[in-house]
Amino acid sequence: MSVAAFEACATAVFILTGFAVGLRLLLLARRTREIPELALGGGLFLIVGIGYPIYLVAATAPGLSLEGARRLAILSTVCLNPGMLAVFVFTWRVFRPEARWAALLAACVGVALALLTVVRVQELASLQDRTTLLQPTDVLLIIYTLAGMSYLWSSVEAFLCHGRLRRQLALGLIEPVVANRVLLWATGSMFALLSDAPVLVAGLLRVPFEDLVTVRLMSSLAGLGCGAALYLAFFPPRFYLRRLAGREATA
Amino acid sequence: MSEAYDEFCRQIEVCASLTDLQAMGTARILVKEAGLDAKTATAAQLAVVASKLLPRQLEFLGVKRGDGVAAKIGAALSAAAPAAGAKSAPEAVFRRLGGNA
Repeated sequence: MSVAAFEACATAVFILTGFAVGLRLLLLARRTREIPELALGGGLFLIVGIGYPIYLVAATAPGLSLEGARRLAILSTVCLNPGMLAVFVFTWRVFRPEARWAALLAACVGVALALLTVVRVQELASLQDRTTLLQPTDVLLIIYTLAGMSYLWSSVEAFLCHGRLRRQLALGLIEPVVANRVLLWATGSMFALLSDAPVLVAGLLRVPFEDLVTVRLMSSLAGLGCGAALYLAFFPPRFYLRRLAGREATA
Repeated sequence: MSEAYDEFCRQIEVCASLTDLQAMGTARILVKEAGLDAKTATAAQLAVVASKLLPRQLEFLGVKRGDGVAAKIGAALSAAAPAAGAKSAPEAVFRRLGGNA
């Protein structure tokens, strides 16, 4: 299998999983009217389910006109940036609901992303060559940095929370599947960061990402890992649930 | 702090004949050891903590018949009106995210 084919498969798995999980959580939010499921579902749906695939189409679909690419790239931007903010809101509301610094961070990121969206839309409106969509500009690098921060923060908080939940698990205060879901979210967020980081670093070093085959492979693997973690966390297959239950029984 | 946590402290103070500071310190140690948050801990969770962790702590404090005292506290917490579990605790959120709303 070529690198391009592997990348395509990994990307497809990532997008399908993100779309399904995001949609499922949004439907859950409609029922529960709670912020965390709305934020996480909205974030995953807007970033992975809609924004990312639209951007890929804008940048790579054959036969697409420049005007069509511009419109799609703008649509993708107005999906991706609010999606990123939603991940920040999720982390704040779930792990640090009473911390002022967390609320302030989410508010600052919200303002920054709003401004970056305006600037990026203006940048895209004057796009002259659609192949440059894959080359990160300064604005895009700042957006990537904020995206990386959102995954890093969520991952660290979830790992810390899992450490606490392991103690609850030992006393039988929590179901293994719930503790495991927190761990999978922590892992999935870390994979999302690892998938995002090479693009960011290549952009900062002004190295064309397309030329870095090994890095592209690592980024795709991380994307695949993120998709797998999301799948196991939110659509756990029976064998996986049995394994978790078995582990509890032998503990 | 959650109502259940305050009740847990009060029960430790009364049943184990400790000062309020000793009771609060004991509750704080146990809640941390159990991986719970005093702001979101429920009566059911604290009843488990009372039965599994409190006897050893009471013994450490020199409380006589610690097992019996802990059982009494656990029973009092279990009998308390079952307040709804905190919806905002991370574990409650992740339980809901699995579809168990």
